[in-house]
Amino acid sequence: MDISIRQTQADSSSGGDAAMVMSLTGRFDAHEAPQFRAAVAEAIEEGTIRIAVELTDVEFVDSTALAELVRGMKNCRERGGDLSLVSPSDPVRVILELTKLDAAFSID
Amino acid sequence: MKSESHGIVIAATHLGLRDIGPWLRALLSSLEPSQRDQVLGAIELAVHELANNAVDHAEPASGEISLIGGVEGDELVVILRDDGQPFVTPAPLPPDEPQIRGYGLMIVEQIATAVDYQRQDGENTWSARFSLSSHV
Repeated sequence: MDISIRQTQADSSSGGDAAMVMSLTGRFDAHEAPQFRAAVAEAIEEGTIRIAVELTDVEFVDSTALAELVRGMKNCRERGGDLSLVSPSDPVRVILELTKLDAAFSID
Repeated sequence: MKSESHGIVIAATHLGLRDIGPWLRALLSSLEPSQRDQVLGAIELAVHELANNAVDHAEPASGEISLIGGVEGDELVVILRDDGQPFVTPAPLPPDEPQIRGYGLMIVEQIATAVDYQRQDGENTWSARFSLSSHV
């Protein structure tokens, strides 16, 4: 899985918090989950608590990867930010619906 | 109609789970491509989750998980075996708060038409049936 990161301008609605778009490409599974977890942890440690995870090109996602998205979302929300999902691919939408986590995330 | 069963032995590692998708695709090669593509993604996810549970929780002594699969009528039957620790039923997920673990079997139960677990002679055996005529 490839992760590309783009810092974005925080808008006024976010209170000026640092924000980023994290685009994932390929297979997001248990083997790749530690890489994503580390990237989110690093971003939060550096003060970025508004993370948009772009999932258009994710071709497979499993429950371990999903758990990392939940972990990131909770960690951001605990700090007053959020981890949102952007343009989830069909495999991502399916697993979100099966687990009913589509109601827990902000999805654009 | 009952087709020949086919087996595969995969490494009980997260990377080893990536052999499941190509194996399932080959197993369903007799289906029309459009039908196969409709069902393959969800079935791969469910079988992957069963095998992932073995990797994360059973920790097979042999370091391997064996899978056997075959088409029976309009269903795919997959059997997974490992020689790891017995399966322990997880606590139910709380209804309101999103959790960081515990979704694997929930996913399997929604995709499969039937799921069964047996512990015998030091082995875990999971069998799951999947409809080939409908998809998630």
